[in-house]
Amino acid sequence: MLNFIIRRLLLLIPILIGVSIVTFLMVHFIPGDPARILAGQNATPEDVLAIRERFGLDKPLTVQYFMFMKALISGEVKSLRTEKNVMEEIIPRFLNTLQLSILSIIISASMGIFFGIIAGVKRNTWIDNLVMGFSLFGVSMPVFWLGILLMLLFAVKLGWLPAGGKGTWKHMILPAITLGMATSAIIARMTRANILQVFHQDYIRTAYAFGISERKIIYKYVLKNALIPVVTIVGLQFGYLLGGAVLTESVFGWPGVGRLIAESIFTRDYTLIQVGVMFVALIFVLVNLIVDFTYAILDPRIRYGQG
Amino acid sequence: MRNHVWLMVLLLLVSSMLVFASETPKYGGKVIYTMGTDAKTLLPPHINDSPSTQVVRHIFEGLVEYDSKMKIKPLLAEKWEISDDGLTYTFYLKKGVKFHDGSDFNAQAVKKTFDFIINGKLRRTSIYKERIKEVEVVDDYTVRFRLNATFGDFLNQLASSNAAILSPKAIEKYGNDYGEFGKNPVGTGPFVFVEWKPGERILLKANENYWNGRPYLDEIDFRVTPEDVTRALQIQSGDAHVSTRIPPVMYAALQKDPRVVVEKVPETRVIFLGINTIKKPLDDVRVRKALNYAIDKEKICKVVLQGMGFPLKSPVSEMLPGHYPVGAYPYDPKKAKELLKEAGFDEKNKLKLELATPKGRYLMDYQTALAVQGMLKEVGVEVDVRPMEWGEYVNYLFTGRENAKYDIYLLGWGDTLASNVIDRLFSSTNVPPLGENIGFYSNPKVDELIAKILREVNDEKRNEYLAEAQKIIMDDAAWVFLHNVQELILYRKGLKGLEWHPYEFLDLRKAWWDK
Amino acid sequence: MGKNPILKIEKLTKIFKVSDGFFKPKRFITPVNNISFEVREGEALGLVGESGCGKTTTGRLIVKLLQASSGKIIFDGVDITNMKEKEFKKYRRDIQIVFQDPFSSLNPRMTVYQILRRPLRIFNLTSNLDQERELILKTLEEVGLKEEHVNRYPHEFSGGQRQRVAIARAIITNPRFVVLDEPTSALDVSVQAQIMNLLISLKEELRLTYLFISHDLSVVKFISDKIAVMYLGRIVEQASKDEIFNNRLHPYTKLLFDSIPIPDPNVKAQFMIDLGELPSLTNVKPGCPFVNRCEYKKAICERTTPALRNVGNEHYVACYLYHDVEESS
Repeated sequence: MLNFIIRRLLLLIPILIGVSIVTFLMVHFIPGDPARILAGQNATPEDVLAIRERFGLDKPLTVQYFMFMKALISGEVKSLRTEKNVMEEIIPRFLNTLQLSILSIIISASMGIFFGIIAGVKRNTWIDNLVMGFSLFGVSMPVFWLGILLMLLFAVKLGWLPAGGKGTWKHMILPAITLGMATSAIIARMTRANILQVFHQDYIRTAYAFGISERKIIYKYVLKNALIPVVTIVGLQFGYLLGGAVLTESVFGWPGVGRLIAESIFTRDYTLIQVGVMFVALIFVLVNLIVDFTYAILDPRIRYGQG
Repeated sequence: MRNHVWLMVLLLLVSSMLVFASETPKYGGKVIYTMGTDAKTLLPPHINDSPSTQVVRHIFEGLVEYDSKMKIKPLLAEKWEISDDGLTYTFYLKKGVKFHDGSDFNAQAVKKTFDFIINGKLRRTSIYKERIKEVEVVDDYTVRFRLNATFGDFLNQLASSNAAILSPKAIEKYGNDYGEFGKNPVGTGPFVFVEWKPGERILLKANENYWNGRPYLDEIDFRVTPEDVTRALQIQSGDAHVSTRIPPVMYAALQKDPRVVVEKVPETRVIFLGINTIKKPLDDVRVRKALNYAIDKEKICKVVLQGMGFPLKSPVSEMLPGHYPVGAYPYDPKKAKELLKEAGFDEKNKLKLELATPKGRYLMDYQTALAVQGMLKEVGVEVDVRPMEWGEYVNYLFTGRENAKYDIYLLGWGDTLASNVIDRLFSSTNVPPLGENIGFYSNPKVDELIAKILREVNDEKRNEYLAEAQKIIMDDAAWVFLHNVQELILYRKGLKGLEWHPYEFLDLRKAWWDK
Repeated sequence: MGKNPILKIEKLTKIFKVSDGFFKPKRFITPVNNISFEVREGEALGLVGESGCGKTTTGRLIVKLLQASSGKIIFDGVDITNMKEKEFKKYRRDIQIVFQDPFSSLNPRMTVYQILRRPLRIFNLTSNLDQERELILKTLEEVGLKEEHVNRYPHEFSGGQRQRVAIARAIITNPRFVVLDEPTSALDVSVQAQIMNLLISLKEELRLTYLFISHDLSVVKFISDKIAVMYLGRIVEQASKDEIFNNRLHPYTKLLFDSIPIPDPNVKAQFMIDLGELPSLTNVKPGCPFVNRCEYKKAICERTTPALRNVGNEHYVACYLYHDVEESS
């Protein structure tokens, strides 16, 4: 196991280098002269030239890449937009995203698993149809629409919860629900599908053939086996959430990392995009690693020897 | 000139007395200002975006500033003199002013600020580098600027927030680390910087030792919420107190809400369709005029903008001193057809154009382009609307003379100076890839007038030249002149003393709560 | 070999309701349609047919994984068809089932010990842990596994070993009747033989009665005393093994037996194609189920269904070529 962890961690290095090259190239292939965009409208030609020169944006791509990597290794990459150290921008934003993601995954996992189980156990009944219908609704509901609707109701009309922004725990509820809506729908669908799959296994038939009660079969056999893959789904969804949800963060004015990266794309803040994407990729890979470990603990079939 | 200043002061006193006469402001309370984008930096000469400007104008002050009619008035300078040759400006500074860090405001601080600006690599300083030869300390409260050449709008440029006076201590401390400097603003203004959580909030508190007396508000909390609709909801729910850029569709509903006040305010921003005047057949003035006649500007303002704009009477916004109302091209599709026919286009030989436009940058920009497409179809011009992401769009337009493939393009321009609009957008020397005369408009008469405008110190004369230039540009149909946009601001009922400046600054320095 | 029928099936029918969607009308399929047969103690009845013919459903009806729609299942003289679960529980240890896929039949989160312990605890078969362990080890030995396997998880075994575990779980309750639902078809050919040998020797040693369900005649031939051929939910022919192999009567049986695989997969594939597509179980029409594929069909075959009748030598066949008895419903 330890061997496995070390190997997976070492694997991070090529992944990150790969991500750095890919984002570097992508960033430079987006049309748009960063110097002009950073200079803003009404800038004089001299202002534009000064920015281009100051950040070496006039140098060949390879030189720019190595300049970037050098700065990255010494931890001194500066945002083109604010000239602050990029980590100083990213970390607080990431912590905000983390807060929201945790609440959101708690809401969506508990809702998703609960309704998934109900739908799976009551499969092919009207309850199942109802739950799955709602989940389809949840997956396809536009974040913008749902977010505005929730705020209109709970903030403007009822005054129970704040309309966006960040502050107390109350500020997190609506964005977490909005964010968790689609996730919980996905989790519910996966949970149901897994339950159905396990129900079709012969060991469940055997259990019935032994005359074990339905309730016991559901709790002791079906759920135990069906929920293992759900752990992966929840973990993966959590990984996605940690990448930041641009739309939700924009609608609710939540200062998360997704919005930061989106804004930096629009303002062509090359360095921030690159480090931001690498950071999110790192987090995503780490979350996956943790999910894999959890999976190994839960499921005896998975072993990390030499394989 | 001095008389002029005194007259201004008198006017100001009268007008403020009028305000005071009606209501007595109360002290206390906090205002949450919710804005669409976070500030980039709070270092004034480094700023090139309006959210940053919005914040720093509460923290910093310059020697002079604009009033809400875009006229110059004194701020840290009590008065000034301009030498007869127009090359030397002498400012007499206010006494007893202190920076938030306790250091004194004086002539040395002014010199230190401008030396910092001229010698550094800050982002919005080229105009100062170009104009200012030297800043000289005459005595503790007198400072003299020597210019390289006469420049009519020098005071206006000092009114820009880029020219705000910085604390000499802070300059010493942060020097050229603009990132750090941008996080630690120290000015002389009525509000003191407290904290900045990126993407979330910038908190300011009242400056108890403000030279003009403590402001009424205890705190201003600038918050960031990108979504326009959400910001309006925040004001309605009371989670925030004031905001700008409210979607016009919400206007009617907000007017009915007793908790809030919604106000239509002017901007200096003009929206136009730029024309690539060196590309055939757009080099033909008849074609350009035809396009102008073919567009129903009134209808666009009424239907597309939902009343949030009015047709342009000149390339310069009506909000700017120096604007001359030449008059819009009337909506006359018949005349447009005639002109097109003269130029060799009719139903059989249709004129085909591409109209590039940003989407979501300006109020209803893409929708405006679609309306234009429809109207031009009426006169037999086929338009292909091509929406683009802003960065891509900028790239598309700044390719230079050889590569300029575009036909017409929708663009907006906000400014504080009429001279700047004419110079930057219509001078034959300011063309891409660096300049912003994207349509390659070129008229020797206009170039000549621009040279005069820039040099002229006398306001009256300068305005004459400006008027002349505006007439020629309109007559040349250098653009398809569309509209001047307006803006909706929204605030809680009970919030008083807000002042809107058309260069997109909502002034909270004298705001107060009537609760 | 005893003479008493331990299991007697009378006119057993299973109808499923199928829903294609919220707004579509419900359809019915009848995988088991009015079948009757009996199995005597110590005997092995081979139930053969193509996939989808209803043989697996028959097996599941017998162990009461499914509830019969009509007809009777009589086990050891007692009608268990509609017996309440509580009452039926005492028969459960006597009737066991082994499934086809050993990868799905064992709970992946239980060790072999836990898997085998479950039936013992459910039926209270041992009084203490030592006894329990002893019985588990003994049973493992009987199916050819070793003590060292006892704490392993299913995924650590090969397919054949897993099937041995599944068999161990079935016989640990000391049952009298075991339904073997294609127990070897998921396994490699070499392993199949080992498992077949194991099943045969267990049958002898433990005096078991088998219902052996398979599509593979070569396997069925190996273990069965009697063979029943099923087609579209019905039994079309039934006789002793030797009788049916030497004297197959029903046109379907002929077709099926002609496609007995020679151990060459390519040849088999060709025969399977010749069998043609199996008609759907839905919308059962009157008439012989095989009528559309039969080369000997007569006019009556289209109208009514022939009954399964003894045509001598305990050889039953449902075909108008041999008798003219119509099925009564």
